[in-house]
Amino acid sequence: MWRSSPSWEPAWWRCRCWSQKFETYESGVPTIGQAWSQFNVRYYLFSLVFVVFDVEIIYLYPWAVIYRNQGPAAFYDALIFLGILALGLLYAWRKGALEWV
Amino acid sequence: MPWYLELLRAIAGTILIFSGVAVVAAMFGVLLERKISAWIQSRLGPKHVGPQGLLQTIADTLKLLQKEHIVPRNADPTIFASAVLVVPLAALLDYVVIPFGTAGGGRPLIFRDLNIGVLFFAATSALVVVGILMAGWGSNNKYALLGGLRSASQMVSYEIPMGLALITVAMLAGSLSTVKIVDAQAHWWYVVEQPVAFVIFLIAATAEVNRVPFDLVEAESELVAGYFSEYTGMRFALFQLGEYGEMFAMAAMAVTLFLGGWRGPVLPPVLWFVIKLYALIFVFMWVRWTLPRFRIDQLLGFSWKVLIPVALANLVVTAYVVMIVQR
Repeated sequence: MWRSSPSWEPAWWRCRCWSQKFETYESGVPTIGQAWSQFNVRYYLFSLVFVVFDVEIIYLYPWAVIYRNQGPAAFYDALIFLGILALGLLYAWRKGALEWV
Repeated sequence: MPWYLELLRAIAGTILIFSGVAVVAAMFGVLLERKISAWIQSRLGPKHVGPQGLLQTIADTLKLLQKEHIVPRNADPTIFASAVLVVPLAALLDYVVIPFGTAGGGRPLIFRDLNIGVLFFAATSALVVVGILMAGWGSNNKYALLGGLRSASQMVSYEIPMGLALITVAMLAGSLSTVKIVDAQAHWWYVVEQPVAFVIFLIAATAEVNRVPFDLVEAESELVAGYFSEYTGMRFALFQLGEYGEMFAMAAMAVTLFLGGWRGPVLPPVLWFVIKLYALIFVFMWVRWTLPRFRIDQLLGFSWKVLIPVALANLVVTAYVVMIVQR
C-alpha cells in the first residue's frame, strides 16, 4: 500500500499507512462489497432519444449558418425535418419513454 | 510559419490561458461564491486571511497542494488518476473560442477565431461528462458511481436545449464564429431579439455545470460529494478548478452570444466583458441560494417536456420571422 505517495515526496517521508486509510468511503462504516455490481440504469431510453436529437442538432448547424441567403424553401424543408422529429418526441412521450421507470 | 513555431505559440497560449484566465478566475470564483453565500445568509464569510479574506483561496490551494494523494484500495488506479486531467482540460478548452475584448486596431482578443467556434464550444463543454463518468466509475465508490451516472443523464438531457439555443443565435448571425457573432450584435444584443433562447441557455448552462438547482451530481446531503468523494489533495482542487472554470466559460459564452460580448460605451472592451461576465456569475450564485434542488425525474422531465419543445418552437418561430424579414 505505497501507492499514496506523491512523486515529489522526499525519501525520509514515511507514508503513514494503515489499512483503513485505503478503504472506500461509505459514511464511516466498513465498506460492503464493490460498487461495480448489477445496477439499474434507469434512463437508457433517454439516452436513445438523446442520440436522435443530438444528430438532428448536428444537421441543423450548417442549415442555420447559410439560412439567411436561402429562399423560403430552406424554411419549409427544415420545418418538415423538425416536424418529423417533433412527432418522434411526441411518440416517445406518449409511449412513456420520458418517464422515470 | 514553420510548424515548431506554431506549436510553441499554441503551448504558450495554452499556458497563458491556463494561468492567466482560468486559474485566476476559478480561484477568485471560489472566494466570490463564499462571500456572496455569506452575504445572502447574513454571515461574514472568509475574513481572516489577507484583507477581508481576499487571500483565502490561495491559502486553501497551498494547503491542498501539501496534502497526500490517497487512492482507495478497490479503485481502478489508471482511470482514477486520469479523470482528474479530463475535467479541467475540457473546461480550459472552452476558452479557446471566447473573444475577451479587442486588442489594438479593433483586432479581437481571442485565442483562435475558429469558423466553427460555437460548435467547438458545444463539443468541449460536453467533454466534461467523460471526466465525471471516469471519476465516478474509477473510484469504485457507490456515491461516486451514482453521481457519475446522474451526471451522464443530466448532461445528455440538457445538451439538446443548449444546442438549439446556440443554433438560433447562429442563424441570426449567419455564422458560427464567435467573433462574427459579437460583430453582428453591434446594433442589438441578441438577448433583446432572443430572450427565450437566452433563458434556455442559462438554464441549460446551470445544469451543465452541475450547480443548484441541478446539483444532483454532487448533492452533498445525499451523495457526500458525488463523483469526487474519494479524491484528496490537489486532485480535489483540480476538480474544483474544472468546475469553476466551466462555470466561467459558460457565463463567458452567454455574454458572447447574447449580451454583445465586449461591446459597450465609454469603458474599454475587456472591462465591459468582465463586468458582464461577473454579472452573470452573480446570477448563478444568486440562483444557488434561491431555489431548492430538483428531484432527478423532475430534472429530466423538465428538460425533455419543457425546454426542448420550447426551444424547438423558438427555433421555428425565429426561422419564420427571419424569412419574412428577408422577403
